[in-house]
Amino acid sequence: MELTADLLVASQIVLWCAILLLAGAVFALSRQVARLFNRIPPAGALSVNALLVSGEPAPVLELNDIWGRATVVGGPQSGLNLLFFISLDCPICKSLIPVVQSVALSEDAVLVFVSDGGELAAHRQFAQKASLANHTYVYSETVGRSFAVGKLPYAVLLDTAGVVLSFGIVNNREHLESLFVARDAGVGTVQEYVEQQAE
Amino acid sequence: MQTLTSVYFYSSAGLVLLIFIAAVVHKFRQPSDFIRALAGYRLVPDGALRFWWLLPLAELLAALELLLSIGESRWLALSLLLLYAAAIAINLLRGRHDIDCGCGGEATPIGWGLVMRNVVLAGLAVPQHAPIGELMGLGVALTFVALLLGALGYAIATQLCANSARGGL
Repeated sequence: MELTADLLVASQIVLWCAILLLAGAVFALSRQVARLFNRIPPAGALSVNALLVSGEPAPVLELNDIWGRATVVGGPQSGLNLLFFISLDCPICKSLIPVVQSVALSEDAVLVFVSDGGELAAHRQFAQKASLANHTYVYSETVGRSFAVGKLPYAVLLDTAGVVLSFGIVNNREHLESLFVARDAGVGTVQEYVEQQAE
Repeated sequence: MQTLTSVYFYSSAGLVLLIFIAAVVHKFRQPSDFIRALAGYRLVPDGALRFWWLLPLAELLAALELLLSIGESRWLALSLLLLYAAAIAINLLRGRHDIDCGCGGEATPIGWGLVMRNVVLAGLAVPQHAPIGELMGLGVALTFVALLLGALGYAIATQLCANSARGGL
């Protein structure tokens, strides 16, 4: 009899520990999920930017691209302008290149690559290997800073007058397309759209 | 209380043993990953990196010590766990939060959660005397349940640490 009671007590205590462990794990998980939901609304480019405001003119910068040709980032353009910020160290950026080319083509936007870090020669090599000769490719830390680009890959959509339409961190085609959808819906970001819908 | 002591003794020994065996297996299965992580800690001079195998060897010895002493002697395990906790803490205090912990499994940047996890494990690895009584029937089953729970808790803690580095808790 005594042995059994002893076993029961031990079993109870193990169960308490299990419950506490699981409760703690569930709590920690729910906190993580909350943070995720706050940062990533459904399927839109994650639009965090300290400088850019949708509807306002983008910074205008005159500089040479990696081939030495004079070009202007921002300002009036012949069509919609999709600025795609990458870096040679960013594997997602590189994997997105065919995707962003395809999106730019189907949305009839001019694609501009902006990159920095490392040597200019490395960028030229990369642009050649990735067949980016048809697009403007700019090597400049200044552009990134002027557009307050933090995390990569980042994209900014400008209209023909050089006004910022939409922007955000992009990880896949859906994010890139959301930039154009945001433009169509007349909001700067998908987050804005979601908020508007909620009102 | 006696059953509880026995259950704790054997399940804690079993958990520490399992974790160490898994650690050894991981290091010998993917040595390049481990060596890279080890180099990342910047606590071992680059010239000494070729002796990386001393660590999994020590882990193997810790597992053997546990087995051969039938769970009583856990000194090596305790020391290694505290050593790893210290290595992680030192790098966190250095401000280096981006290095991989080298624990095996999913790539996990170091964090204080990992330090705590190791300290809790070290608590389980404190050497103890084998309990006097015999575990019987359900007691054995309870021990296995406790062991399973421990393993689950370890996996949960590790995953939560990996998640938090990607923007969670």
